[in-house]
Amino acid sequence: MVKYIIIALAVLLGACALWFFVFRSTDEAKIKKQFQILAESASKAGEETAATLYLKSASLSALFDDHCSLDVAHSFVSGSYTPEEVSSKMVQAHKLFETATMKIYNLTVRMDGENKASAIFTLRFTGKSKNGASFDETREIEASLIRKEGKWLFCAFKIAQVIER
Amino acid sequence: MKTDSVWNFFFPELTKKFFIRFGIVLVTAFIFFKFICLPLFINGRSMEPTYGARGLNFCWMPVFWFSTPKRQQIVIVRYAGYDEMLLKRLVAFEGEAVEFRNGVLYIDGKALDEPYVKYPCDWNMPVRIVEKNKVYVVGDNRSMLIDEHKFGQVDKSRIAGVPLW
Repeated sequence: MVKYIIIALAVLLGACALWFFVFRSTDEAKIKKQFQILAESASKAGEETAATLYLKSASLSALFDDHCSLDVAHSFVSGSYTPEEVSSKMVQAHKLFETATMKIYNLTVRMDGENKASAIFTLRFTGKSKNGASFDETREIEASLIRKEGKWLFCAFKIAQVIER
Repeated sequence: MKTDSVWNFFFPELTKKFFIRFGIVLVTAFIFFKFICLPLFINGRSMEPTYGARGLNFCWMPVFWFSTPKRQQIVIVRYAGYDEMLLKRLVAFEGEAVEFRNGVLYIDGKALDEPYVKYPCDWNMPVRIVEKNKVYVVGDNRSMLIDEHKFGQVDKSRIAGVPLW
C-alpha cells in the first residue's frame, strides 16, 4: 500500500512540474492565457446576471486591439471590429443563447517578431439557443496578435477555408 | 488461487520489470494511436451506403508516407485539426475539370464510373478546375441536397490517411 501512495505522490509531483513548465510566464504562455480568457468570456453556462455579463464583456473587450479584423469566406460577418463592437456582439449573442461553450484545442503559437505573434487552433462552439435549437460547430482558425504596452491583443481572426467547391 | 490471479491482474506486484513494461506499453500506445492509427467516430450521412451515419473506425496514416492517393480512393481529410475530419472519396486531381450534370460526375468531360454511388442523384454544378496542390473530394451519398453536402477541393497536405476498414 505504501508503494501505491509513493507512486500517487510521484504522479502528483510530475503533474505539478508539467503545470509549471506549461504555464510559466513566457510570451507563449501569456498568449495562451488570452485565449483562455477569450473562451471563458464567450461561454455561457446558464442564466447570467447583468453584473456577470458586464464583467465578461469588459474582460472580452480588453483582449482586442483597436481594430480587429474577422475574415470568414463568403460571409457578411467579415469586417473590422472595435473592442466595443466585439463586446456588444457578445452581449447580443449571450441573450440569444441558453448555453454556449467555446473550447479551444490544438493551440499552436508562433512568434513573428518581438511584438507580433500568430496562432492556429481548433475552435469548438457548442450550445443551445433560446428557441431550443442545439448547435455544435468545429472550425480551424488562424489568429494574429500584437503586443501593446506589454499586453497581447487580438488583431485578426481568419476561419480556414478547408473545402471549397 | 483464482482470486489471487484476479487480484494480481488488477494490483500487480510493483517490480522494476513491471514499470518498464508498463512504460513501454504506454509510450507505444500513445505513439500508435496519435501518429499512426487515429481512432475516429463517424458522424454523418455523406458516405452512405459505403459507411453508415454512425460508427467507429481508425485513420490509418502511414498509407501516404511513401505513396500518393489514387482516384476513387476513400480518404480522410483534416477539417479542424485532428479533432474533426471529413471522410470522402477522392475523384479528381489538380488541373482536372470537375462537373456534375444531372447527377453524373464528369472529370475532364468524361463521365466517371462510380459503382459505389447507390442512391439517385440530380446534382448539377458547373465546371471547376482543381487548383494547384489540391484534390477534389466528394461523398458517396449524392441523394442529399447539394447544399447540405460538404464537398470540393482541399489541400493535398490535409489528407491525413485512409479508414482502416
